[in-house]
Amino acid sequence: MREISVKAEKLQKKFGDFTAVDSVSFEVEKGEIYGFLGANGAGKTTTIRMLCGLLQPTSGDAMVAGFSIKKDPDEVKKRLGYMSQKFSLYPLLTVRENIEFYAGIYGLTDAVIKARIPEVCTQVELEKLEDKITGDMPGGLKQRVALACAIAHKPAIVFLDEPTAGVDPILRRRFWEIIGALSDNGTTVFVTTHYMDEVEHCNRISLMHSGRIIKEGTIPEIKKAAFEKPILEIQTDTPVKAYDALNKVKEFNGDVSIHGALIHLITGMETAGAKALMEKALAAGGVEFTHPEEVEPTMDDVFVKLVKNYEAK
Amino acid sequence: MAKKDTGKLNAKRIIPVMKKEFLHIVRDTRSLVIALLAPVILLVLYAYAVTFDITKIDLGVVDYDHSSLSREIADKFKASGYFEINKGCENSMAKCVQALRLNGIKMILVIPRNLFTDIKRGREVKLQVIGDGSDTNTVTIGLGYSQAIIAQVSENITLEAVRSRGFDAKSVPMIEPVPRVWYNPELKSTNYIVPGLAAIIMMLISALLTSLTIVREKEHNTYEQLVSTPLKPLELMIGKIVPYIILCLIDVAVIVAVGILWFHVPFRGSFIVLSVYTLLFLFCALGLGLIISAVAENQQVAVMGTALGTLLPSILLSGFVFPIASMPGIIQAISYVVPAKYYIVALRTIFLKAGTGFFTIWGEGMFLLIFGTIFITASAKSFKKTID
Repeated sequence: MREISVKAEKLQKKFGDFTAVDSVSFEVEKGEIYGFLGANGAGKTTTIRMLCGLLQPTSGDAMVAGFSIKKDPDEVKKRLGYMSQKFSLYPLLTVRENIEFYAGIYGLTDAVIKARIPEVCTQVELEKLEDKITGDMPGGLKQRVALACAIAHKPAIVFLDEPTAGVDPILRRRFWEIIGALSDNGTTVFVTTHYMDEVEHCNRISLMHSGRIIKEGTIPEIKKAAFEKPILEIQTDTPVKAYDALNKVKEFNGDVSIHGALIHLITGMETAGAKALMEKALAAGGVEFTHPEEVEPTMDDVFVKLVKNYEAK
Repeated sequence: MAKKDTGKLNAKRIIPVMKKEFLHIVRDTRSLVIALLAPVILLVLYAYAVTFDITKIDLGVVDYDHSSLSREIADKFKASGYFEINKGCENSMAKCVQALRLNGIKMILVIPRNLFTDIKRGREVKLQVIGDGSDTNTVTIGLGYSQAIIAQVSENITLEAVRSRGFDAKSVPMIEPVPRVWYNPELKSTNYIVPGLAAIIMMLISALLTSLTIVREKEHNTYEQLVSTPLKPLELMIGKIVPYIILCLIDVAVIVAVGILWFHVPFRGSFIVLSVYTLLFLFCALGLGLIISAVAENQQVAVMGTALGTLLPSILLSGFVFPIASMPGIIQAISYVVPAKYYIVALRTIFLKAGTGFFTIWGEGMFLLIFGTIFITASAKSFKKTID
């Protein structure tokens, strides 16, 4: 049976005349990694803050872990873990003391906390660093300490606001593995990011743009929505020549773009037919090329396309 | 609007806050050293500076008489120790007036011609004493001293005259006041300056220490994090205040020790009563610091707010120097919110008056308790449960 962790209904937040979040609705299932993707200022942080009870919605409501953020913010707060954009740690305390503090204010007993610390440190890969002062640690480790503090009390839902901002790519990858393990254990993870590549780690995502959700779904669903037809790619030493040759073919009824030595061809045709026509056109134009293949659109492509589509409407 | 919190306070959540705050105090070595040393340094510095024992008032003497009596009078002024006779303008009225104008001297004593002969003839003689009204405090005290000196000279002359007419000087009827000042017989101003100063310094230090705590949470972004947890504002405030109470108690102990051992202020009361009133005062002072902290956005604002909000009222409206009873009604009313006012009374009483018990100064205790509760509640209220 589907179990819903977060259910937002027409959630809206206004700051004066400015509408930061404009009646967004979505559902997050238990154990899912749900991503909020969008540029800075799209309303991601405001949404997450409302869901955590940090901001009261102007209108609409959301159920988080079974409680309304409007009527029972205190009950909601007991059941969530929150990691804000800037790692909120006490710099003069050690890793252990930071975790002890946050676990403590969630009401865990000393004995439980004592048993929980090695557990959670293993989970976020901070073994043997328990007694380091957090203020002296590099950003990537601080990020994990902040995560440890957010999950020490075993919350049903974890809200991560731009958790990987300013962290190097290798540590970012490790971080997503930790998040994956967390979700495998049944914790719902709600995450915002503006790194397009990171959403590949999410089960489902919402694309946010100027306060609204412009698309929601799994990654393949969203890619499909953005690009109904396949993208063909070739590699060539003479991209401009290839570009001209392909642009001459009226039947494609699509779009040709240059990406360095790569040419992307988006057509209105089926893959096989388009491929044959492409090879013919390139041969006619005298273009030498390699690696003709069908490629997936990148999330950058998808995001730009969907925002364009949305604004065209 | 944040939802009204109906849940009970939970010690399970207060203790971690206390522990964390305590660790932060201990690990921040520089602030800790300042917190522990500043009170002693301030006390020693200002206890020497602030004194009401006025001595060595610069005096110009213009003696038109040049008799043995006029010299005796001038010598009496000098011998009293309260006056320093300025040689530069001696016996020149013009020079004395000039010196008074240029702040070279504070007072002028004018002895008229024929003082000696007039006295011998049994006439009343008037001595002129001129004071610089731009330094009212010194001059008021100096005039008091000179009246006493002249009265003494005058009394001796009277008795001499009586004796020379063959009467027994002891048979002359006279009323003589016998002043006794209890609790501080030598009227040493240190004895009451030091307890007052201790209260002012503790007001500043304690409010300053706490005013920085919540601001620091805002600067470390932990404020937002705390709001996202089930921690209640009052739990946060209590958890934050307890470690600072302990730190400030140490400060008070050091200050009291310096007062007793270094400045020799007699301590005649009970240390238990002192501790109780100190706790009440700290509760109030730290609460005030928390309010400033909850409202201020950064450390600079917090420090400015504390300095303005505590220092001047504590010095001017606490009865430390200026008696509250002589202030206009509205100012007296304002003085009720100044925690130092109650603590100064408590400290002076406990220090100097033997047998001071809990109930001797219960009024002060009640006010501290009431205002402390108001301050803490108000600071908890200003710590919102949401961040908008």
